[in-house]
Amino acid sequence: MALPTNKSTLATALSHWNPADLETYLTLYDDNAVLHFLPPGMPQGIAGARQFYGAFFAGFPDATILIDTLVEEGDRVACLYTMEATHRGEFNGIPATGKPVRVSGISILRFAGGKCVERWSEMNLMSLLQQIGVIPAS
Amino acid sequence: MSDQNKSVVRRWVERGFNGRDMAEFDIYYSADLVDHGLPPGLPPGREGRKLFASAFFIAFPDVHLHVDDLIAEGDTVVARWSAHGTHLGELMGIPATGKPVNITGIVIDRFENGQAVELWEVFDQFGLMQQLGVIPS
Repeated sequence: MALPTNKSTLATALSHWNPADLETYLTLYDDNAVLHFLPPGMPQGIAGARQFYGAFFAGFPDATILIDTLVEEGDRVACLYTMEATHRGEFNGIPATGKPVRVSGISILRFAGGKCVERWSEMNLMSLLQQIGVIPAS
Repeated sequence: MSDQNKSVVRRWVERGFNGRDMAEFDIYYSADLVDHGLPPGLPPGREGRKLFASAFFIAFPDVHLHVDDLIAEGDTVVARWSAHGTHLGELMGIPATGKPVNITGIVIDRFENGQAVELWEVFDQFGLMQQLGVIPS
């Protein structure tokens, strides 16, 4: 049987990207993964990812991810995605607004031995905060 | 093909963006460019992309773009970039603050016949606004 490719490993992990399945999603990462998108003060590796997504899902429990494009070269996979969710819980100190959000993001994951060992990520946080009404739309 | 498209990206970064040569924008982007990464309020396509860059050059006259990684497959190239500059001119209604800024972003370009025909881009606009002091940290 052929080994899964890094693209398929990522696609499988993202199919588990929801609050109930968070631990399955987290198996994407190496214990010591370097996650450049984590805010300062958060631990790195799986522990940091668990904390980050735990906080995110608390604010947006119905969040879903749609993969728009995957681009792979060597040990890296880039992923363009669209995230849709409803702001049903507290997020970064902002109480639930009940508003629906739709934002795009692009992540680059570097793999070694079938695990993500490093990730860079850009998500349109500005647009998300505008959609929940915290920042005025430009 | 992938290697060729990567060199096209590198040339545009050096001559177009860092060299401030707007003619390079016409070489790099197709006249029919579909741009999914442009902030609202700009005209679509290549003209919007040129206006967006020009606005950055006015706000950050010393802005320099560095390509940190290129990932290419088929007709697509992904560029992870970082940029630094000093806020010496007006930006979207924000008067010059004199502050130095560091921004990161990722852009995906799809190529046809050596020109970018479609692009998606996300950059740390929120971090930029925090560094300018417009949004509290």
